[in-house]
Amino acid sequence: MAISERNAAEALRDVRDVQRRTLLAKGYGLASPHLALSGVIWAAGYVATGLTPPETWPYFWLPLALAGALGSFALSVRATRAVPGDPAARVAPASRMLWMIGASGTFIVSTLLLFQPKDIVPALAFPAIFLAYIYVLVGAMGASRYLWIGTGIFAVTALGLILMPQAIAFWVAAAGGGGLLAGALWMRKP
Amino acid sequence: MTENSAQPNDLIHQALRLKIMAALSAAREDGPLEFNRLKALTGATDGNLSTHLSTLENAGYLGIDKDFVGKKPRTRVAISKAGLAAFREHMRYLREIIEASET
Repeated sequence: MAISERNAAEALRDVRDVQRRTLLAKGYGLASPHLALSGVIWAAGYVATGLTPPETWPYFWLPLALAGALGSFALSVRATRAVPGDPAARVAPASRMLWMIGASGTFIVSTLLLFQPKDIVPALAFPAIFLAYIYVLVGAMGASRYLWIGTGIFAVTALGLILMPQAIAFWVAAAGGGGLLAGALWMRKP
Repeated sequence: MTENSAQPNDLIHQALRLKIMAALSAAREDGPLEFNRLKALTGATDGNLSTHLSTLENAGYLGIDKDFVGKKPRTRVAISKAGLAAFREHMRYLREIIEASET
């Protein structure tokens, strides 16, 4: 069989493309349960925020954030259990997940403390905007589904700020929680 | 032009079979790929994918496992050691063609 240079280049390009999409699909599959967990915690937290006075918020947000971080850590450890190799190396991705959650939470809380917003509405919408920003950044690096999820969360949150600022907590519960849960289902698709 | 040290593989070089082997080689550490995922990754139709999977299975390049999840049939495909070796050899052959053309 004689394969021309052009034919070889096309074949190698096809192989690279399929392998990239295979690894991306694997990444989506691994991310799906994390998005579902985040969506449930997000929706529960914001619904509770809408129903209770501000002074009670730390009492449920702190346990929810802790549950989310530990849940994500457990999901990451479970996902790498089947991978052969050093057990310590298998915990590394789970540890990175904890660092990312911690850094994101710290950034959001620090920003709110630093700028001390007088109006509660933008303060409640800010975490959703930040989440959307992170997802769009990840999506721009090649994982396009994150781009759409982030754009969707941003668009719905912005719409809530304009149309229903008085019910922003419930709106963000639906935009962030719903967006993450819908994203989790989408990530499971082939 | 220099001689290739690797050998071409006619069976693998067919466009869809090459994509199947590429997907299975990338996914090998995570276990078998489900038929529907493989279909989405390669852009093949059901019938076309089945035909080429059979060809590769007959060559010993992959294993096909059929079972049920509840009442739903499930087909999973995994690359074999022989398949991975053959795919790598063919990749090496293709790269050598490109390298030879560049020198």
